[in-house]
Amino acid sequence: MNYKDRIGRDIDRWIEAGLVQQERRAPMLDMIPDTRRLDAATALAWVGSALLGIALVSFVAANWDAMTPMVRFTIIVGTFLALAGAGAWTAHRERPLASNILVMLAAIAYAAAVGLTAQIFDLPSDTRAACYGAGLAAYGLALAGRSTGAAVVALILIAFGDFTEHGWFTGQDHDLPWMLFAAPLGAYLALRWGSAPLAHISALAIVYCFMWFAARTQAHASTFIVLALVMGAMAAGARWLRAHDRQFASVFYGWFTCGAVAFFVIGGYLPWFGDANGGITHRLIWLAASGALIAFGRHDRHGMVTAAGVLSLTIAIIAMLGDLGLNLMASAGIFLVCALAALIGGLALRARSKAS
Amino acid sequence: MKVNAPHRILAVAAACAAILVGFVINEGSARANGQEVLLPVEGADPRDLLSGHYVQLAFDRRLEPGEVCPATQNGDWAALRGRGDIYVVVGGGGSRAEVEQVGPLPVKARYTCAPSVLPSAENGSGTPGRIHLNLNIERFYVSQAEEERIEAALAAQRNDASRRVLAIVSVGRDGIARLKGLMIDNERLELNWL
Repeated sequence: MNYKDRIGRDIDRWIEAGLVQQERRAPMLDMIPDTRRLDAATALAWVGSALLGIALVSFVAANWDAMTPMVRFTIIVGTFLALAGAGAWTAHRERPLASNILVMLAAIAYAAAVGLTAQIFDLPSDTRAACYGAGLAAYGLALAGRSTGAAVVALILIAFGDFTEHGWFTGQDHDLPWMLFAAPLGAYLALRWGSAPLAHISALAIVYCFMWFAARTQAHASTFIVLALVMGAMAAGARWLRAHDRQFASVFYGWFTCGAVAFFVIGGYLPWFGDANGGITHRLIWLAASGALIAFGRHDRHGMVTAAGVLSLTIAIIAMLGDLGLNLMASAGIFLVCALAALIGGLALRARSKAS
Repeated sequence: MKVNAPHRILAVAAACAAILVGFVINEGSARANGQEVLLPVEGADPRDLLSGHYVQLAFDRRLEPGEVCPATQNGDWAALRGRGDIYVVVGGGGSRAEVEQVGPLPVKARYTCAPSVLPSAENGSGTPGRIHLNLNIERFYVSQAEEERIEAALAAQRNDASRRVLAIVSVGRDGIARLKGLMIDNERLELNWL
């Protein structure tokens, strides 16, 4: 039974109860789109296509050694062009899902083609340039075909390029990661096209750009605290966008919140003045911020922010106990007090909401 | 004028394919027109199931008795000079012009050298010096039969310290070294694209 059937049953009950008129039933149900069902012929066609693809790949693999390099090259470039052509055809037939998938597969095929070309012709290997090149091609295909899948592939390839033959976290590498342009572009496309997977990967890519910046600088608390504040401001911006009907800003709200908390926590353990770290002041702000996050998460009905707050609060309490060097009995007492405070606060809030 | 999605996809795909084909043509031309040199090579055999058969190449050369290491490299260029039928590293530098002062054939490569340890009471019979040249050429893809033959030759070379396998390398005007093939027991095994 699908969603439309369940609503139909509910409407029948409302008609029996006299809440809805009988003639309203059909127009109401017409407002709910029919779920697409895969008929047997279509399913068989998909299975057949998949098996044909496997057969082709197996045939090519079995005869790979016997083929000349030019034949191999023709096969891989032909595969890429066939996938892109199929993506274009499905776009022409206005089948956006199929077009998205096929253009994404074309982007993956192009990345494989770049790697295999170097192998086939024994060309000098430059993995970083190959990843960047394939990533740019994937972005080109994504923009051309409005393919969120190809954009995800582009971000992954550019990340590979950034990390290949680089020592970002040694402080000795002075190149700029390409993700500095790729991540904001991915975030823009995620918001414009309304894609959750692209939003997730773009948000993570932006957090990694912040990590790159932190790794370039000396490990000093002020850098991390400033980064935490900037990321917190970005989380606030994403929250504002979310409140203004930009649904996928919700993903950025969650990840930026996690990033801000992580930077703030790390900052508290780095030297502030001389060799001393943030100490008890940092831990208290951390506890308060964690509580605030839980409140925001509950208020906004945002699971990720709530989870980040709960996790942060738990770690903050453990860290504080570690700082104070309390024994198990004292720790149990503090946890008991915290639990009672939370329970009393919760009950008070419930009582107030009932009264109002 | 607004270009619709199918045409955009086809245009980008065609451009990507053209770039790949152009890259292959450019590399083929550079390989054919570069200066051919023979370099000593050693090998190992880590087979990769996803990549097919290949021979892992290491451009290592044992120093001759009495031979000293070239000066420590500070840059991405190395100078090669012919010695008998092979080319050897004679120095390095930060630019093409700089290494041309050191040797006649500049190549984009990095090298490291471990000097010979002379025989003594502490070191026994001593160890020969070794120079490693990183040309950004790591693998030579071949069929399984060829790969086994090359491995056998490389293993024999390791055992008797002979020079049975040499890499045929083309050094282009851009200074990049491109592999043309291997010479095994004076027999050329060249890469054939067609």
